[in-house]
Amino acid sequence: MKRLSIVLATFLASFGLAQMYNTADEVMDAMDAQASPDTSITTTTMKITSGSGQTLSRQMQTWSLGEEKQNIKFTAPPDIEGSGFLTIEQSDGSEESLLWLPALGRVRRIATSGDDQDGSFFGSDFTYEDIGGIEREEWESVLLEIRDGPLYIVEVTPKEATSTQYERIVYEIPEAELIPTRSEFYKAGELFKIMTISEIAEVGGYRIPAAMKMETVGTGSFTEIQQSGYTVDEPIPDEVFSERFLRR
Amino acid sequence: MRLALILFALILGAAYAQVDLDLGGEIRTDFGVVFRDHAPVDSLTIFDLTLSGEVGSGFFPDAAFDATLRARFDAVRGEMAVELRDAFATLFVGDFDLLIGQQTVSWGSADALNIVDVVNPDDLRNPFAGEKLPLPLLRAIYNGPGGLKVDAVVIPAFRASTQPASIWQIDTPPIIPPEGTTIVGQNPPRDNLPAAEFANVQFGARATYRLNLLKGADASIVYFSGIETTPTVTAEFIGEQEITVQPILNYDHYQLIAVDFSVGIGDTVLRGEAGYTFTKDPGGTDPAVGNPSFNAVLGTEYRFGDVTTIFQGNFDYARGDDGEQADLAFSVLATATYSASARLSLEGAWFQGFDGGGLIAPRASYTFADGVTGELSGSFFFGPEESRLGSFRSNSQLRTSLGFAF
Repeated sequence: MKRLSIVLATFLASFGLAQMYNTADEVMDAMDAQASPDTSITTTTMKITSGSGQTLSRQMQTWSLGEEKQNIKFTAPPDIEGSGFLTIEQSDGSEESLLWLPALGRVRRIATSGDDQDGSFFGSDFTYEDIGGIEREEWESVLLEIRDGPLYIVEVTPKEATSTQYERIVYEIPEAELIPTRSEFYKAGELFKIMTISEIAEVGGYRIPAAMKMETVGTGSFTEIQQSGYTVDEPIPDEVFSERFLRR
Repeated sequence: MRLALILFALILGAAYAQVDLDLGGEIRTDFGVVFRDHAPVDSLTIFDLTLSGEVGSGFFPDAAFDATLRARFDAVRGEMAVELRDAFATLFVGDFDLLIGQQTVSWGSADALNIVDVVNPDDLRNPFAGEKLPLPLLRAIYNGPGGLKVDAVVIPAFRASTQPASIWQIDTPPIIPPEGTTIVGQNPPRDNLPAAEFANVQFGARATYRLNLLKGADASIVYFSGIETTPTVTAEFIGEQEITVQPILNYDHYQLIAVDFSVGIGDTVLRGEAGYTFTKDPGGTDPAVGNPSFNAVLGTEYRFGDVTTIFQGNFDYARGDDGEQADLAFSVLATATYSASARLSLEGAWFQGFDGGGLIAPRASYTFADGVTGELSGSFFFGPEESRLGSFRSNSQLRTSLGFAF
């Protein structure tokens, strides 16, 4: 009986009919339902390549407590080594941002705004909006196509009141991963950026993008991010998300 | 004996294994030309070598240390100097950070003009470079519960700010000799540097409380009992009819009580500082001692995508000498910084005094490669000759620098 089921599943899959989800909302709900770690410590290496082929690198260590608190410390290159960036979500959902620059010698509160979503993430091709992802309730989702795999092609468009730089995003989401392995960002009717996730790591039962690339189509520049050294769900003392740790 | 040696080697090995060392530094060249006569105003090469490390492990180690040795060659003045910059150790003891050694302390919330940032003297050779001089001191930071932080310093020995280079020195008013006398000469200034004694120990504290208010807020209160690092200049007359002028440099004791704060409100950060300085001449009767003063700054920061803007208003009041009017000064500062890419950053600053003088300072910095950064900047002074910044009109200059951090 079991053998028959496997044969049947293989047969159905070959016709692209074995998918578990039939609507965009089902796919997005399944993505949202994936567990994410309560805490994580990650080493991130970022390589920024300009349209002319010149490269700059950034290396940083990140401590995260869910989506509430995050402390980023740069470990390379030497001219920015030691700089740190702490964000703490306030009870009303707004975000407090503190910056530590060793040359300045003090922690500085910095302004963040809705417009910041368009701002570059530490000079890379990623924006804060790209890193943070979209808020489901602020976007309409449409399932455009189901390809072999199955691979879901989902288009999201912002609702009227949504603050975003994009007019639509098209995701390619393999059912096996439930992480968009390719995302196309459209602006002013044209393809603006393409993000690909080429490696997904399994850490502590979580699927985490380990290697990704964001290309800006118009300029030819691109940024590659490699994440490693994961520690998940290990307790992180609250003082890690403090000015004291930022200064250390 | 053999056992003792093995034990010693084991202890040494274990201790060494816990020390994490990092050697780095920067080589930088800085070249400046004044517009007036295209003369080089600075041609500096600076080499900083920094050794830092931590002892112990975990989120907070047992101790950390930093030491920077600087070699500085000024080709315009033909001066070569090797000096110790920051060199201090930090002990992490429970909620306390204890810092001992030569260090730089930065207090305050506002931009460019900080009323409460009084701990270190300044390197005024180029007063617009904003560089401080590190100072041997004891510092204790208490990281208390609920967002309380108390930062206390004790400075056993006084260090004065360096004198401005000749082009930045302000013309002093002419010396009027007593009636019936003639000035026949002037002695070199007598520098009454405060001696290293208990009465000249400087100390202070800044208590800060962080609040979960709006988009985050903090408020601090500062007390500092210090000695002015730039001197008050007076003169004595030696002789009877034919007199020699003896300039005297005095460093005034003062006490500062101040507050500073920053708060995130919506898309804006509001920052401010205000402080009252008490001197030993509250009535303004002694011309050799500075008079009490009040200073305040209030500023906002706002970001438009990759552009950060700052607007700040500054107010200075100093009590006049006995029978004279108080000195009042207002000024505003506006800056915009645009991070065009990972490599290029453009900045413009405009400082305007209400006496008519001002400064416009554009700057472009470019990262050529990891650790290799170049900068092109200008300082354009304008306004009437009698205004504070207008008096530097002939010092308007263009500067370029290239640095390599390793």
